[in-house]
Amino acid sequence: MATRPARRPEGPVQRLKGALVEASRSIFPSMGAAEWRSVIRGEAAPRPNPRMRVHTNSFWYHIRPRALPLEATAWYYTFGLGWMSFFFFVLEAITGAILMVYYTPSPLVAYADMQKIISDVPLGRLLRNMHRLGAHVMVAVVILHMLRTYFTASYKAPRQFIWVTGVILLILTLVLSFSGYLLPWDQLAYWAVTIGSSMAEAAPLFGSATNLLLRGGVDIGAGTLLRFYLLHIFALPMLTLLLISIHYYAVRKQEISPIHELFAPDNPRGWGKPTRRKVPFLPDQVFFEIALIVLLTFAFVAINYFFWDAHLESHANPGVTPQHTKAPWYFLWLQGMLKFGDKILFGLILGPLVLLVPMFLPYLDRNPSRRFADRKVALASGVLSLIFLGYVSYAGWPTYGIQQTGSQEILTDFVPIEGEGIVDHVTWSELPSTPVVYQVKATIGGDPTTTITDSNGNPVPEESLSAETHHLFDEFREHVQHWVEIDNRFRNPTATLAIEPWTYLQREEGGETQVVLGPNGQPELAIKKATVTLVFEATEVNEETGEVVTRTTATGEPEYSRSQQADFLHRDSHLGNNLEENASAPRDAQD
Amino acid sequence: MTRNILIATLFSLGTAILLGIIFIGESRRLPQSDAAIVAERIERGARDYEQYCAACHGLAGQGQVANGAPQLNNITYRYMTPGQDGTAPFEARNGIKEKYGTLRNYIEATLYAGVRGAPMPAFGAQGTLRQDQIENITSYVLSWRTNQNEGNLTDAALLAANLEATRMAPTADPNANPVSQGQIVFTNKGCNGCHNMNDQKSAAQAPGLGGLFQPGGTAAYGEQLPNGRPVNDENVKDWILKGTAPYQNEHIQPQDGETYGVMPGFQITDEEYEALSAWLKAHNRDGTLTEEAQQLQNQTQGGAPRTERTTVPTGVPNNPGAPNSPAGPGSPGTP
Repeated sequence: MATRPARRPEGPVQRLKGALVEASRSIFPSMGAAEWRSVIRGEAAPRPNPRMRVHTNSFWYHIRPRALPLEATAWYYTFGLGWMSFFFFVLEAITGAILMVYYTPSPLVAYADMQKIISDVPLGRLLRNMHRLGAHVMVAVVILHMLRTYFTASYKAPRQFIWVTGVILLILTLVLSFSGYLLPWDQLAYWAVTIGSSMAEAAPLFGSATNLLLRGGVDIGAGTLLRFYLLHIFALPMLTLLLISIHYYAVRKQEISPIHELFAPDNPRGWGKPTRRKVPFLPDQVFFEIALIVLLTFAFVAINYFFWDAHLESHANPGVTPQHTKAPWYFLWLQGMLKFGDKILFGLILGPLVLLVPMFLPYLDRNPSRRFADRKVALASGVLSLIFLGYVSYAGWPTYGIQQTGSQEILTDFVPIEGEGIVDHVTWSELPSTPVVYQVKATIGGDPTTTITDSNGNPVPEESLSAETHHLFDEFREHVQHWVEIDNRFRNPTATLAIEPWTYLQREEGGETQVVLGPNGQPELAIKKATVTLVFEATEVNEETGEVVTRTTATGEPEYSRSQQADFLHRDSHLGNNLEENASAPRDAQD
Repeated sequence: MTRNILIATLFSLGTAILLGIIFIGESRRLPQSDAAIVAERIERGARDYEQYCAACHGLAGQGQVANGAPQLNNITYRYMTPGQDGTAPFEARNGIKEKYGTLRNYIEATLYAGVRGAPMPAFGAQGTLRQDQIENITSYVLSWRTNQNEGNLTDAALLAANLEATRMAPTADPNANPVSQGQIVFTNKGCNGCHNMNDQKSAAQAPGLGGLFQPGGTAAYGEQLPNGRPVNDENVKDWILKGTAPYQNEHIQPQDGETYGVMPGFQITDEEYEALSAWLKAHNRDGTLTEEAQQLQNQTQGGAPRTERTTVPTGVPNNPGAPNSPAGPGSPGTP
């Protein structure tokens, strides 16, 4: 630009244009208006290519290559999983940073802060949903990324180092996700972390020390929350960012691995192959990635608003263990292994092996070939390991190998002490507003006999009950019959599910509190109470035969055990939840 | 590439529009969500009320005047209605308003610190209830308020509460044996609201009393009381009358390593204590009856009340026809 044409006086349009070009130059160094025009028109780059200079002149673009191998940008065979892992990392960082503004890491206020995020912060619930679901998806994506790398043998020389950093990143992702579990301080948080940190205790030598270090005390408390918070928002993200930088630097240095199937049998590593086709970063790749970011963001926002809700359970209660406590899904394999009993074998030897073997995999697997045909052992052991992990994860599922008691299960399924049961999920207004008692008498193999009465024992006409109430009663009968069949300590039960009106709704008007009247002049209800009462034969184990027998009194009559639990249902407790619960759908009992 | 630019532009707009729609919807959702959270607090408060408060104050907050547990379902009315001098108790000089500001604060403070000289335990201070539970229970109690002297409880609720009260406080039978009479005192005084008659700590953080007078003593404190004195009639009665308060500095560590709450003092007559001690002496540590008590029960009733016995209910929850049961493991509400 030695000579410039004489300047014309600038109008507002020119000035705006100038500003845009300047802005573009500061974001994309050395790209002026002319270069952008040619990019948009899809023209071939002139030589010397100004689009390449972007990378040499800017720190940020220096991170990305000027051109990528064609395979690296094609869906097959990378599926863009590494890129997506990073996308979710950034998404978590952004949503997490905003959530941090509204959160205090103290057991006294953490739960109230979560309620505030959900009910007082505009878009707060969306942010929280995105952060929670993003964490799960990120773990899944990272695992898939590793599987892809394993099955295409991309970990082999010269890319061993990339793989090792990748395994460390997987561990970091798991710990990062797990450390966030505790922060809401609800029942899920408290018990998932109790289980997670006591699994650390299973390691024989330094287990209890690790547990103490992690919890900052014997029990989970204020110290634990602060530790997990600092790990979650500072230490682990920083470490992960560092590892991601190293990982990506290594990927840049070695380039992405070529597609293994293309190699000739005599050239298994693909050395000496002609330069592969490249895709320039500017403009193709950059627009592709921007489009992908926008698409994913749109989809993720939509999913989190319309189809998914990060449920906030009730306040952490150290006194009440939820019926089906389980570790996060990505730690179920560990929980399953510990269930098999032998802590030395499963805790000390197998547990670390699951992480250590993958770590040194490139150094253990000496087979240079990357072709499927040459890797039968590796592929088979990969598949077998997956099946094994799947099986122990299934074993980690709370219902596996744990003896359940029918009476406890029924109470917890319908009217749990903490959290929500089946009764909570029936539309409130569809429940009867006069006392209704549903009684089931069940025996093994028999058809249960049922009655529907009011609290004085007078029959209630079935037509007066709504369809949802009928469905609830049917479900209750099925549960009772189910547990009679499979639990021999739950004998000949008489089970009742009673719905009673409890308090009237009232409103303050002009300093006076008035009971609110409904359209028919009757007072509106505020709370209905659901009570489940189970009366069944008391049993004991016969010490000689080991059989479960009914306990009898001196006169030979059976003794009865009685369990009762109640749940209060407020008319407003499901308001504002746009994921309308489908009350007629039976809920998964594991949930 | 053009396709990518198109997708990026379209979906940027789409995301912006979606966020806009969501943002506009938030002004409707947030108050609803707020109401839902308040409702959930009341629900959870109701449950905790049933577990911790109903033993004395009644399922429907109707109170139990004999034990000094006041009626709660008219609490707003009682404090807010001006008396003859034209001042409501709430606003009386040196009254609640001056000390606590609001009725809610007053209830929360009472739940936290208890009432000195009355059986109301310090639920918060002794670690039985967490702060959020105290707030929830207060929400439930305040949700009862009306301007009438009666709460806004339904007839069904009042009926259930009466039935439960009858179940919990059976009438004394002069012909009953001392053990059964002791059981009546045990339930009438609300002891069973906190104490199990076996080796289990209850949900209200009270030690199980099984085996109190037996060799070996209770699982919690062995042959001693929490104030370090040996278990005998004199010391036990003194403990019931005074509670933990005078012995704060003499508190010994529980043998089973658990932490236990604070025992409030209860007024109890000599006859009542005599009956109660028969009931306490009748239990082994594991909750079974001693041989003598067993025989006594068999003679008079033809059955031991050691397990929760009941006839098959007629379909009424809190079945009034069911014979009383001693507090088994767990308090009412926890099976």
